[in-house]
Amino acid sequence: MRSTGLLERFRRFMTERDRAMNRSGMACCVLSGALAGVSLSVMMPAAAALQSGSPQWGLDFPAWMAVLAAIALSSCTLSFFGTKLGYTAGLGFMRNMQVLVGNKVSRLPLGWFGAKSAGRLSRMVTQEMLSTGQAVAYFIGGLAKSSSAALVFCLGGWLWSWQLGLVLTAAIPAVFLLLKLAQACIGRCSAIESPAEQELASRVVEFAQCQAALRACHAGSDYRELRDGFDSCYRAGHRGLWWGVLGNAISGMSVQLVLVAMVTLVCRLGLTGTAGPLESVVMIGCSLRFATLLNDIGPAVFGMEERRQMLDALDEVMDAPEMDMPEQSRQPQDSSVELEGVDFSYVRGTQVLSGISLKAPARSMLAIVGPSGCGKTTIVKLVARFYDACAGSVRVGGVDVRELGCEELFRQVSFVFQDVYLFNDSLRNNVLIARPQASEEELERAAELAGVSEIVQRLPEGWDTACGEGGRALSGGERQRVSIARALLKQAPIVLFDEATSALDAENEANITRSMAALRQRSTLVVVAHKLETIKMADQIVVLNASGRVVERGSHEELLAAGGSYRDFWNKRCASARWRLA
Amino acid sequence: MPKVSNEDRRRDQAGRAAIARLSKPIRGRTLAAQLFVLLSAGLSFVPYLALVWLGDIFLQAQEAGVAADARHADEVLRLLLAGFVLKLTFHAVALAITHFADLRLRLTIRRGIVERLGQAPLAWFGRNDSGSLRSAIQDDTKTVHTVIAHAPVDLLNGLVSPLVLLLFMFALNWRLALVGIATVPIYVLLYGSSMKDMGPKTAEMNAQLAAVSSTMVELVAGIKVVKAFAKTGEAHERYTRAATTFADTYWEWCAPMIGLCSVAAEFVSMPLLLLVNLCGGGLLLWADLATLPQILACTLIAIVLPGAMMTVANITWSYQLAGSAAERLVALLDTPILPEAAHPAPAPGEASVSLEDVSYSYGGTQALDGVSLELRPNSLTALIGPSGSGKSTLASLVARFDDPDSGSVKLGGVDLRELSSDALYDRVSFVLQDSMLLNASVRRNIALGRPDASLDQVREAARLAQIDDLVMSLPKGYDTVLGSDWSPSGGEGQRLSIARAILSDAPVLIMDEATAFADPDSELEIQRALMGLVRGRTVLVIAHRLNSIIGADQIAVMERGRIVALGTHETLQNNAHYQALLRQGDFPLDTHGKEAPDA
Repeated sequence: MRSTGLLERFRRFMTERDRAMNRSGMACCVLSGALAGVSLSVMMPAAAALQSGSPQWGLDFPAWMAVLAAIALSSCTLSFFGTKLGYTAGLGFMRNMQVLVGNKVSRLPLGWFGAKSAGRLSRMVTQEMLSTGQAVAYFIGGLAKSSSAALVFCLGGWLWSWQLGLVLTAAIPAVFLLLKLAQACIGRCSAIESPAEQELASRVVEFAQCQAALRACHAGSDYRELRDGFDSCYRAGHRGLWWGVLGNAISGMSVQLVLVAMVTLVCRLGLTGTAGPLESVVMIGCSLRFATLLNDIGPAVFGMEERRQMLDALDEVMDAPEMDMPEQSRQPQDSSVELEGVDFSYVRGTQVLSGISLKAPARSMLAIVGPSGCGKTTIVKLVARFYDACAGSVRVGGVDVRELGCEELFRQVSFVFQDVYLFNDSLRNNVLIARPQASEEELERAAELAGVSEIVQRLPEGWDTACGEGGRALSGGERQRVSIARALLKQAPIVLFDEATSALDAENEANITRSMAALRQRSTLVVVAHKLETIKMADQIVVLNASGRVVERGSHEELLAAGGSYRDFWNKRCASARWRLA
Repeated sequence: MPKVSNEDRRRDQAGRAAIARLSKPIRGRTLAAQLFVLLSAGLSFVPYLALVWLGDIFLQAQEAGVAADARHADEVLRLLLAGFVLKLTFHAVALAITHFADLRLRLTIRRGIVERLGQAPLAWFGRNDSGSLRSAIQDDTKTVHTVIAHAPVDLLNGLVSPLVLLLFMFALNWRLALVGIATVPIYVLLYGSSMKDMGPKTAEMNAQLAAVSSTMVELVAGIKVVKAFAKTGEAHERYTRAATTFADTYWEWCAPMIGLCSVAAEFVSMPLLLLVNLCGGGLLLWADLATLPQILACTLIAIVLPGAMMTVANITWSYQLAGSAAERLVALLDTPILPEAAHPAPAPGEASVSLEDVSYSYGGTQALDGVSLELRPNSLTALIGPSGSGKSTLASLVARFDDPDSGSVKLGGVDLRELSSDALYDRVSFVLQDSMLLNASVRRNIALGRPDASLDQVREAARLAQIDDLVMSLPKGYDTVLGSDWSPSGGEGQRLSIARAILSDAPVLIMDEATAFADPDSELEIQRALMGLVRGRTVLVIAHRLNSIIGADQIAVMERGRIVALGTHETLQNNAHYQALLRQGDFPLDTHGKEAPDA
C-alpha cells in the first residue's frame, strides 16, 4: 500500500527516538489489528459451538470464550501500547517538523521567496502541522489496525468455509471500486464548477478594484460582466450538482450495496445447501461485520490522500535547493562591485540578462537605466545574491559572491528595494534594526535625511508609533523613507538602490536625492535609476536594452555626446519633466 | 485563563449567530432534507433485522431437520433490498435538496455581498484589500456551505442512526442490549474526564498557534530585511521559541491524556466487545433468554455504536471552524452604506463645486478639518502639500467617495447628498493613479459609461487619449480583450482610462497629477492625453510637482487637513507656507529641463 512509502516520508521529520517509537507503535497496531481479526474469526466457531452445544474444531463454547479472552487481552494490551507510542511519536513529529521547517526557511536563498510564501509557510507550521501530526498520532495507526483486522478476518473466512472467504474477498474490490466511482463523480462536479467559481471570484475582485470607475459609469454592482459571472456560476453549479449528488449518494451507500449483495449471496448458498444452515447464519453475521469494517477503512484511505498533498508541499520546501555557502568566507578587498559576463534567467529558456559586464569602483556611483522589464532590478538582486548567475561571475570587493559567507556579504551590502517590509514594532526600532548600537544623534541624522523626521513629527505617537503588520500603518512612500533611513544608519560599504518607477513618491524626490548624496560619500552606490536627478548624479551610467544587454556606458556627458539611445531617452524624459498641465 | 475562555465563548456564540442568520433563507429546505434523512437513518436497523429473521428461518430448519423455507427467506431478502432502495432514495433526495439549497445559498450570499458593497462608500474599497474579499467569496462561502447545507443533515444522520440501532437492540432483546452497552459508561467516564477544560485549553492552543503563525510570517515576509541586517538569527529564534512554547504546552496538555485515552479506547475495542457480548449472550442463551441470531445482531451493533458517536463529535468540531467564516460574511453583508437621497434634487446646471467647512475623519485620524474651497466652472484648481495633508481625501469627497462628518460639498449649488448617484456621476468623473480596467474588450472598457456610444465615438476618444493607433495595431483592434488577449503596460492602461473619461464627458474632472508620470516609458503620450482631457472642464488636481500646475487658476496649499494658503503662483510668492514648500524642494520646479540640450 502507498502508506508505507508515506510513513517513511513522515519519519523524515522525526527524531531517531520518535522514529523508533513510531515503528514499534505501528507494529503494535498491526499486531493488535491482526488479533482483532482473529477474534472476529473466532466468533464463527464459537457461535456454532454455542448453538449446536457440541465442540467446534475440538473446543466447546466456554473454551472458545477462554481463547477469545486471551486474544482480547493481548490485542487490547498491544493496542494500548500502539496508541500510546503513536501519540507520543505524533507529538514529537509536530515539534520537530516545526523546527525543521524554520531552520530550512532561514537557509533558503532570498530568490526562493515569493508573494505567497509567508501565508503558505505559516499555514504549513500551524494547521497543516496539526493535520499531519494527527495522522502520525492516530490516523495511520487506526487505519493499519482496521486494515490488518479486515485482512485476517478475510483469511479466517477462507479457513472456515471457502464460500465465505470468496464473498468477503470479493467485497473488498467492490467497495473500493464504488468509492473510486464516487470520487470520480465528485471530482467531475468540481471540475464543472470550479472554472466558473474562479471566474466569478475574479469578477468580484474586479468589481471591488474598479468600483470607483464602475460607479462613475453608473454600473456599480450591476454590470454585464459581473451578471454573466453570477449566471454562469449558477448554471455550472446546476450542471455539476447532479454529479455531486450521485457521488455523495454512492459513497454513502456503497457499503450498504455490497452488504445487500453479500447477504443475498450467502442466503442463496444456504438455501441451495451449499452451506449448512448454522454456517449461513454465522456467515450473514460475518458479512455484516465485514461491511462495517470496510466502511471505516475506505474513507480513511481516501482521507490519507489529503495528507499526502500536505506532505508533498512540505517536501517541496525541505527539498528546495539551498545556495552553496563557502566553509570559510573570503575577505573582500575593497567596496567595488563587478559583474563579468553574467547571464541570468528565472525560467529556463527565457534569458533576462545576457553577457552583462560592468564595474562600479569603490566609492563611486553607478546608475543602471533602460526600458521597464529589461532586467535592471535583477542585476542588483544578483549582487545581493537573491539568485546566483547562470554564467559569469558577480564580485564584491574582488571576491565572487559565492565565496562570501552570508553574513560577510550583508556586512558589505545594504539595499533599498521597492517592496519594503516593516516589522510590527515601533518606528524607532524599525529604523534601529539597521544598527541597534547607533547613537540618538546618528538616528536623528539618518531620519532627517531620509524624511522620516517629517513622519515622526506628524504622527501623534512619533517614534513610538506602531508600524502595523508588514508596515501597513505607513504609506508606500513613507515605508520607503524608513528603508532609506535604515540604509543610511547601517553605513554599509555598498548600497544597492532600486528607485520606484512611479511618480507616486514625487514628495520623496528631495529626500531621496539628499540621501543619495549622503550615501555616496561613504559607500559604493549602485542605483536602478528613473529620476533624472539621480541619473545625472552618477559617475557612470550603464544603459540596458529590452533584451537585457548593455548597449552603452559612460558618464552623463559622454553618453549625451555619443548621441545614441541614451540621448534619445534623456531628451524624452526631459521634455516630459517640463510638462505643464496648466 | 478564564478570560480567554470567555472570549472564546463569545466568539463561539457570535459564530453560531452568524451561521443561523446566513442559513435563514434555506431553513425550510434544510428541514425538508432533515425529514428525509430521518427516514433514511430510521432504516439503519433493516440489515440487522434481516440477520435475525434469516437466522430464525435457517435455525428452525436445522432443528426441524428440513431444508430452509426458501419462499420465506426470499421475502426477507426482498425486505432487505426494499429497505436498502428506500434508504438510498431518501438519502439521495436529502442530498439533492441540500445541494440545491446550497447552490441557492451561495448565490444569495454572494449577490447580497456584491449588492451591499455596491452601495458602500467608495472610501471602503480603498481601505479594504480585495484579496480578503476574494477569499470571503471563494473560501468562506465554501466553508459555510459545508456547515449550513451538510452539517444539519450529517449530524442528524449521525445522531439518529445509532439511536435507531440502540432502540432496535432493546426491542429485540433488552437483556442483550444491556450487555451490549455495558462497557460504554466506563469509556464515556474515562474519555470525558480527559476532555475536562477542553474549551479554555483550546483557546490557549489557538493563541499559541497564532504566535507561531505570526512569527513565521515575520520571518518569511521580512527575510530580506533580517538577512540584510544580519538578524536572521533573531527572527528565527523568535519563531523557534513560539513553536517550542506551543509544542511544550501541547505536550503538557496531551501527555496525561494519552494514557487515559488509550485505556478508554480499549473498553470499546472490538475484541473486548466480542468477548463481553458473546459471553453474556451465551449465558442468556443457556437460560433460554436469547437466540443465536439475536446475540449475533446485538454483538455486531455493539461493535459499531462507539464509532458512530465519534462521527457526531467530528461534525460538531467542523461547526466551530465555520463560525469565523460566517462572521466574516455577515460583516460584509453589514457593510455601512452611503445613504441615497429619497427624493433627489433636480440635477444642477452649473459645473461649479463648493466645499463649505468640511471635516472628515477615519480611523481616529482627522483627515480634513474645516476646509472650504470654491471651484469655478472651467477653472483648474491644484491641491499641493506634503503626503498625509489631506489632498486625496478632499478630492475624493468631491466625487462622493464618502460623506463629510460635518460641512457640505455642493455641485452647482446642490448638496451631493441630495443628488442621485446617476446625476452626480453624469457630472463628475475622475482619473486616478489606478487605471481601473475590466477584463473585457477595449471598446467596452472605453464605453463603460456610455454603452450606446458608436465605434467612431469610441475611437475619437481613444485618439484624443493617444491610444487609438496602438489599439488599431492589435490583431483584434477594439475587440481585444484586456487581460486575456493583451496586458497593457501602466502607461497604456492610463491612456485607456483617460479615453473613458473623455467619452463620458463629465464637466467636472478630478485627477491625480501622478498619472502623468506613472510610466517612464510613455510619459509623453500620457501627458498629451491628459491635455486632451482637461480642456473645457472644471478640474481639481492632486499635484505632486509644482512645475506641472504652475499656471493653475487656483493653488491650494494643504497642511494637516487644512487649506493654509490659496492663490495663484504669482499671488502666493510671498506666502510663508508656499515658500516653505518651495524651499524644502518637495515640489521640484523646472530644474532638469533647463540643462537638457536641444530638447
